[in-house]
Amino acid sequence: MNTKITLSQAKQMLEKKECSSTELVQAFINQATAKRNLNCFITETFDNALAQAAEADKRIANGNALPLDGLPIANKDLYCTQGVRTTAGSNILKNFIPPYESTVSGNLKKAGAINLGKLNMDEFAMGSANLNSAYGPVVNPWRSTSEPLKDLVPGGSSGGSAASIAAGLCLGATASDTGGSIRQPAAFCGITGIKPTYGLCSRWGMVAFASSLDQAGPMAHTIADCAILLKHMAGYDDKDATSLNVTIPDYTANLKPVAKGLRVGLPKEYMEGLNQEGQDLLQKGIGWLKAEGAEIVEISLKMTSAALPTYYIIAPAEASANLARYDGVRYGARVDSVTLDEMYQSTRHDGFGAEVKRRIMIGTYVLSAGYYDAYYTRAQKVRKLISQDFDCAFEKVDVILTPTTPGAAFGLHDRNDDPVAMYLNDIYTVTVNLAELPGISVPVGLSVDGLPLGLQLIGPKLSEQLLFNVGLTLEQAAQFPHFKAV
Amino acid sequence: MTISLTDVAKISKLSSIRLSDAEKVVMQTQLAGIFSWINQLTEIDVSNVNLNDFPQAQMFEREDVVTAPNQVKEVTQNAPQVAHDMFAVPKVVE
Repeated sequence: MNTKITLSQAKQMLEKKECSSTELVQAFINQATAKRNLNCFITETFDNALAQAAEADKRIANGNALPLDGLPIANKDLYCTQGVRTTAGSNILKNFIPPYESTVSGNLKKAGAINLGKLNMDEFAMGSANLNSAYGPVVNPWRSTSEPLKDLVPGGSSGGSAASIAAGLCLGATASDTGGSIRQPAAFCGITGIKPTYGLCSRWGMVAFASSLDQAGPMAHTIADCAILLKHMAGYDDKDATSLNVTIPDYTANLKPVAKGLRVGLPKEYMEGLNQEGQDLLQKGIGWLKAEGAEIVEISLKMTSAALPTYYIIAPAEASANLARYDGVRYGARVDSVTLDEMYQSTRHDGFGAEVKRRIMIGTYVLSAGYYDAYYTRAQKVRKLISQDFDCAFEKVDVILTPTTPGAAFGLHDRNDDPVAMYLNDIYTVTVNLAELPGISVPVGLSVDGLPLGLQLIGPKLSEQLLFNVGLTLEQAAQFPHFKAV
Repeated sequence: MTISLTDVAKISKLSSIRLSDAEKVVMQTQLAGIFSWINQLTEIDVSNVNLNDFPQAQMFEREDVVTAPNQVKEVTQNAPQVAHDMFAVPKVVE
């Protein structure tokens, strides 16, 4: 069998006994093996996946199937998986084998999903192109029509998650989003990705980057697939003090295209500087929603241009504190030295990559004596203004429509020298994290070069169902070629 | 504002990340570029924003009970060096 199927279709096939989980898992293992050149997996767990598939087949045959029984997925390599190496894309964790399972990956496991392995990512989720992994870059399975031999980035930091789905190596994947790390790679690889409301999915067992911004979420081909996965990933967890104690809706049961009477906000600041291709894509999205009865309302999110600089104070500040734990003492790599201080300094010099070191240095600087108020306190205040912008907007509109990225995927070697140029990739996504809101990227079109482009929907806190439903309107209108890169 | 090599050396020490002289020069250039971009935030008026006006979401506390006793093996299994069931580090006392 081939792997040109969605998670929802595979679920139905298993339920109707049209195939076994073993056949399904083997097909995805075959595809993953054939596409190792994409470098999506850091660690493969194929043997274990086949053993789990056999168990799933028994449960299905006995009528005791679990909700996600027998469905092959994969986990971003920052979810701690008990007994399976978890590197977070870093050399410093190259031999780390967690003695425990993260809540999110554990929830999926309990629901019967089968883990094919651990997916490549930017080191500690710091990056927008998957070029910062200690295990090498991930290659986007899509090729441009004008330069078909050129390798393209999959986006980041969840580049392995996005590329593996787009290439048909798994049905869906866990990912995480601190400034756009689910939505931006989803757009670059032509798949769907949702960053839920902060606190909807537990952060317990996720390798931390910036704790006030990090949020787990699913990626998959379609809205329906993401709805199924999120339902089983989300939920209250007393091991995460920021976990939201709310009932998780049955997103799938409530899934239906919504647009009639919907007020859709278009932030004028997002239009400034948007290239013609982006403008055209946005107009298409507007047209589809209007055709189904939505009202388009121009809004202003006046703090938009301040969001990225604010993020690059707050996220590195939190990262510098979170990554202080990697000192070569309790776990992770160590560089032996004569004194303890030398051991710390050499371990962190050799263990971290260039971008991680840069961000730790930024974070340490903005938190240091004499600079704390000028940078960190000011950034926290601007973050409040960004949240207020959205609060005002959601008094006038139900959802906000924007491009997900400034353009399509770029070449592996196109723009690696200037850190600030790379940071600008997240210009349309980062505000959502700062305001703790949900956002979804839906693949809706192709660039002139035949590469995927996405539109983003942003909603108020806990509006994931609305985002799925409005997203479904876009998905149905767009008729995106989901399996073109498989 | 500019970031001097002295600043870089200080941050490197505070971060416990050893940097060679050549790495310090590269880091200085990159941090200078990043901070000149970040400094656009100084143009935003935040005088009316009082962080205390925004109540933080209430974080709950777990009950203070032992949930996983005797985890010495699990806790130390990833350590680079273990001695007598404890993490071993270079000598710190002369």
